[in-house]
Amino acid sequence: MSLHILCASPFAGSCLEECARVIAADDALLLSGDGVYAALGEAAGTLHALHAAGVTIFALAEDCTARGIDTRLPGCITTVDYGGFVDLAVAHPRTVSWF
Amino acid sequence: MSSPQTAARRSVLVVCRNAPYGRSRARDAIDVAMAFAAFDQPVTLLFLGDGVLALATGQRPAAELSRSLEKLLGTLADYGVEEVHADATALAARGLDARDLALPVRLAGPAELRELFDAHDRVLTV
Repeated sequence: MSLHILCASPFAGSCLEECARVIAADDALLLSGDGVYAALGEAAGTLHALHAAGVTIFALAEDCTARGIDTRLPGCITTVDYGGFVDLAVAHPRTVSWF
Repeated sequence: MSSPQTAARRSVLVVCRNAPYGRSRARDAIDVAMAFAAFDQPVTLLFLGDGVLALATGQRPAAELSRSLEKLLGTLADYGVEEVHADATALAARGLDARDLALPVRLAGPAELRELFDAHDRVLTV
């Protein structure tokens, strides 16, 4: 059970594609920084597929708000604050960063 | 307080995600895997996505610019890095197969990749 942290825009590189290739159904995915752009367009389609497979998906609220993504979040994404980020990190035995 | 004798040896999966030469990250990933092995930590090296390009044979960088990553890969086993895996999907997407690789690696499909991540205590993506 891993917490995957997506820190870069999926439109700038292959981070989301590679994360989606290795993520397991009982893993969690947290969108952080430019990673919150995964809530948009084709990347959101990838998130929907991961969510349907069982992956829980979170996004840092502050990073969404800063980029105007907070009003565009698909229903499969739950926002968390930094305290929530810490809780997620504690709840998972390993973290995997994608940047 | 933990001492070197009592500290747990935790397994590490080092993931190389970048092509060689454009940036130093591929070399950094190999270096850090060798460092873990040198300190007797169980380490596995995985080449994922563009990282598989670091494994291609025929690398001939201009000597003054960069040392050959291919030669460095040849010394992995000497440093104790014996578990080396490559992303099969990424290899195929780049028109490469096992015959194009500078060293014998285990090819991992999606299921094997998920098992690799799950089987290690820590994951370091580079």
